[in-house]
Amino acid sequence: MTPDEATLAVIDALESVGLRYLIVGSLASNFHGIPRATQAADFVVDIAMSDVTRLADALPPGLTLQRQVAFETVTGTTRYLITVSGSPFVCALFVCADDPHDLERLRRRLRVSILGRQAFVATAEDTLVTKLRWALIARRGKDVEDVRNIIGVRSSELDWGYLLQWATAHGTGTLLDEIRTSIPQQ
Amino acid sequence: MANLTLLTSILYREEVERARAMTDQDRLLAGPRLFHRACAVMADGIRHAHPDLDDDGVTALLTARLERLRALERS
Repeated sequence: MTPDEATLAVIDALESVGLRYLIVGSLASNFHGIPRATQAADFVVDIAMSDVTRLADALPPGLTLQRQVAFETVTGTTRYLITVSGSPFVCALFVCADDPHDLERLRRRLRVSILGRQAFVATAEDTLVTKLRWALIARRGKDVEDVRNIIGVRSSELDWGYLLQWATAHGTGTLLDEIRTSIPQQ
Repeated sequence: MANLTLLTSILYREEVERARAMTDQDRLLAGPRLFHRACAVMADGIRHAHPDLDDDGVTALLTARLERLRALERS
């Protein structure tokens, strides 16, 4: 199974089980910005322990949901991994936390059409809010690039009031200003 | 220097326009597809350097290299 087929199969499984979820991370930043290669498809899922078996059963052959939950030290989140047979690509299911922005981005998620199926994706603003946060905490260059590219592609469509509100709450306002001013004007 | 800045700006704007011209689904799935292609090229490189390895050995070395890249990103 190829990585894009695996991504679509996980979307199908989440939809069929009826869990609340959204596509986040680099898939979401690709959706809103300039695409780049990614080693993982990240999802935030409102999932209880009792849902794990149902979701595992909904996956097609070739995809395996690892039952043990892992803790991400950088982001302070817990996640389940879905491995893809014969590929180093993985799908990561981050468990929806009580974090105020996590809950807000789940509420504001977009319903989109992907190759004939419906899927939920984080909004451009919520993708930016999260990427700014991880750029500040983890100092990962790719997060800064993703922020720059989403703003470059979507600038005029963004809800800047919402974005600035969360940037202020997370202490990422200065970083947002720096990235914004680095983008060439049309 | 001014010319270089102008060139960088033009190239970035072109990149933005290419992304805008893509469909939403193509942009979303581009990440996994580009990764798949990158892995295929890396695997070819590993096979060239280690002709004795079978497919499982190539996959194991590829996975180890990707894990090192992830560790570098985190450091």
